[in-house]
Amino acid sequence: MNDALTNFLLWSGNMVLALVISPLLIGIINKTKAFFAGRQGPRLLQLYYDLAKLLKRSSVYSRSTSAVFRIAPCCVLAASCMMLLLLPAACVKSPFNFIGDMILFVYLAGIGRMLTVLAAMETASAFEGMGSSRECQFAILAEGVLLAVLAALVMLTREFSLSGCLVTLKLNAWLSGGTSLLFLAVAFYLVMLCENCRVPVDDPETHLELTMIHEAMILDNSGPDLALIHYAAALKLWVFLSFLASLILPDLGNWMVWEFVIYYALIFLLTISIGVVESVMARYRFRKVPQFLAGALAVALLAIVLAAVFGGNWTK
Amino acid sequence: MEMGKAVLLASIILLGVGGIGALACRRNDRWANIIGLSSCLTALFLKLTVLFAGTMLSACFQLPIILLGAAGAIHSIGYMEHHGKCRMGLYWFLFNITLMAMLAVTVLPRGLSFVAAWEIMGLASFALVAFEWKKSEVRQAAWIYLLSCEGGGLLLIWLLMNLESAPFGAIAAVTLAAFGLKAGFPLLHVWLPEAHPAAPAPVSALMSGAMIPLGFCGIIAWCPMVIGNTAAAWVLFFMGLTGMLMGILFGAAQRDLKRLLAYSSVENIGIMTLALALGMLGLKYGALPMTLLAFSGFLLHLINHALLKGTLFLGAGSVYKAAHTLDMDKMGGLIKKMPWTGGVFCISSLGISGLPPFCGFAGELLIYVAAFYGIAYGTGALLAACVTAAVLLAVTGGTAAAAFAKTVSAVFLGEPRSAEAVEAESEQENMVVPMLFTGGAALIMTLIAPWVVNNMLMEAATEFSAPWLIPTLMTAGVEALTGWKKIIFSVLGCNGICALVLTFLTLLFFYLRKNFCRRPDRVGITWDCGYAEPTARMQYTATAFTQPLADLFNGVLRQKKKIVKPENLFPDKAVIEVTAPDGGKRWFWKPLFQMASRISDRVRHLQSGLLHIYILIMVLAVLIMLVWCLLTPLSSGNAQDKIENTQEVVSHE
Repeated sequence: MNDALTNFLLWSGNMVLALVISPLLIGIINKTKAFFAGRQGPRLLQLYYDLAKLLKRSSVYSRSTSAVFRIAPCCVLAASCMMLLLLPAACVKSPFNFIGDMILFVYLAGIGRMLTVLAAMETASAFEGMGSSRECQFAILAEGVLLAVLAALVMLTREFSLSGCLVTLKLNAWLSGGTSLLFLAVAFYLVMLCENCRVPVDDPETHLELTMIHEAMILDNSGPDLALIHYAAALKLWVFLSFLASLILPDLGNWMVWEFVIYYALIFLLTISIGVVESVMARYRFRKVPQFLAGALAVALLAIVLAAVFGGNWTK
Repeated sequence: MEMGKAVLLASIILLGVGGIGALACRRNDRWANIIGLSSCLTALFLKLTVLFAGTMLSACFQLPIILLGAAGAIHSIGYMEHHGKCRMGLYWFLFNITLMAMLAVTVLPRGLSFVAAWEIMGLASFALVAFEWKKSEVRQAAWIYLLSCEGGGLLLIWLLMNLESAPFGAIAAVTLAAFGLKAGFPLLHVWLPEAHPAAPAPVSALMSGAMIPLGFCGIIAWCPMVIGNTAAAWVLFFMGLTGMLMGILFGAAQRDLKRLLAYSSVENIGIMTLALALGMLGLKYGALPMTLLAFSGFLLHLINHALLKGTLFLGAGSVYKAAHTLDMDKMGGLIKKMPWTGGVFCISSLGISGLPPFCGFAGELLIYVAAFYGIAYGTGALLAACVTAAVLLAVTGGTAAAAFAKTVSAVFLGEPRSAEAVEAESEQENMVVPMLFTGGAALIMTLIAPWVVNNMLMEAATEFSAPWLIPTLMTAGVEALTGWKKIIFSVLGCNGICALVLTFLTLLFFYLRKNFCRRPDRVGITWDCGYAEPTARMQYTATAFTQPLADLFNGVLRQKKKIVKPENLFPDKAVIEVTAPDGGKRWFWKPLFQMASRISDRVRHLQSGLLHIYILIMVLAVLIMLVWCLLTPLSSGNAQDKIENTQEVVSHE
């Protein structure tokens, strides 16, 4: 009982921390990019200032819009929060885990995306239509990759909840089947770039609206609504990074403190790596993005094949 | 049990009498409406009170018929208004007869009466599809539908005659083909995208939600052994995969609202088939949980799809009534004129795309978990099948989301794209109420799914899979069954709780945003990067929205593009028209029918109208038969018998 209480406290502490520091991730990415470009760059806490400023402003709504546009930012944020609720913290299972919650995880990303798209289409703007259309196209393959990664995890751990899958991977798993796990991590990393609208799929920093996806869809959001969307995006990035960190991090048994240290270190390292990716490569042409995602799918399926041929159950 | 049968019979008779009564008041549409609607609603309500009197399986198929029948009947009053005088009697007659035959099909065992009910259902619904027969495209569609109905009927008659004698493989194949024609299995689905746009909207709702799943009912009634057959499982598995992927891909590329919805039905039937196949594979490999999950997912998705697709078709009908077009490229901004219709349509679209917190997700969740069970514990073929199923189900879900994002945004959101949309009328209450009814039922379904599955769908699943389930239970123990029942209950329960939490969080954020961000909101024109004069023509059209997606899958879709490029310094016109004609029709049925007509064209030369040629043909035929009889060896007893029989016949004459 005491153990369960400790776990719950640890998990909820981590959750609160995630809610607080997720905007910092965007700052870290931007700092990394500035470092590579030899610039000073925006402050680390820039997004916090932006959010505070936006919340004080008023929203401007287009005459073309209706209730969908007003409710969408709230729903997007709610979906991001739900995704966070389902995730384990380091090696502590989420108290809200249930069989099949990993599917809910994928589809929560889907509902957030769908409402962003609908809100964008409400403005009757050409740019936002363009962004929505592309987002929908890429999501098709991205969801397939996510499901393939989850399928591989289920196969390796024989656990049917997200927490179960991510937590029960032991150190032995990396020793005996590291290749397969590495492939999974790579596939997930690639799909994370797509889901969070980062280079090479989407460029959040570009100055040309024609080449944006996510930023083009929220051109008409302003004030508190825009703050909600930015915050939801930061939270979603945290969720995906946390997923990847838990996937890489094996269960170290009694060294729980170290687990948390490594977990946070991994999250920040991965954030920096996103910044590095954005610095060293350009965004793909849109025609190439499906190939990129199909590549990720191939990597995930390869992981499954490898595990099926050489693997076995790695939870021991 | 007896009581249930009596009430069912009473409701069927009431439907028939009501239909004939409505037909009798030919001159008076008002009375036809009153008699038709009241008899229909009373009969359906009567049936609803004894829903669980028969088998649970028939209840699963009856529930959509009852709900969609009632909603469609109420919607008809508004939809058929101003349709033309003195035709409501005929409409109600056909509508009630269709319902009657559908109810009969769910309870009849295989046999001649089933075939009769099936045929009545097909013919009455054909007449409904052809109800607006003065339009040539409606006649064309109704013709295709009639062909597919009668093709299925012919196969059924063959089945009826050969049920005892033919080998199992042939029976299974013919059963799947006969009922696949109704259910819309891939290649056999061609009538769906034709007939649904042509039929009146309430009829489309009834047919899409309640009639096409009866194909599964027929398969189970006529060839229950299919469920335990491995080859059939693999056939259904691949049909399910093809159906769902092709269905939604072709759907996403359409610009006709009801055609898109029809393709979405093909997709959902594909998902159901896949679930059924996963359950059958589970039976074969002795994976009990997989079977339970997949079968209950199959039935849950069947009911969810009925409610959601019914709502969507009714909504499409309201839109057609208001804007007088089904072309999505000509719509836009209708949610301002029809807020209720738009709201319910939007929520049902999210539901049918399988997104939480709506009920379409619950059924897919069970199917996913079934596939994951196979992934975790299966090896070899089962593992590969389950991985394929899970990944492609996700791809289908993503495409469905794209297709319905297009639908909702093109029809209801943004600015009107044409004069029709600008002048669209506002919604009518009598068409909103049935949509609220089915849409609301779909919302409630998310929350009550655990109980529905545990008390109704699981029973139904055990009914049709009992011969194979019981041996598995012998080895696994009955505790396994109750254990997995509890697990499925908790999965759906947790999903329901998550749906509530998600809704609560959304509303909470909305409340906080309204009350703590005090600066008043302002209203202006769409910013669009500072463009000062946005017009409705600048926004994305429905076709443009899915163009990247359709081009990505053009290898399958093979769209037809008609492009007139702008020329000269002062171009006066530029046209682009993209259509995605049905693949099955284009590559399979059309060549087949063309070949048939070529052959019959050749044979037609014989029919020259000259008497002596006919006599020559007859003489030749007799000669050939004579030679054939002489050359056939008489050694086998069978042939001997036959010849003796003929001689007898001849002597009698």
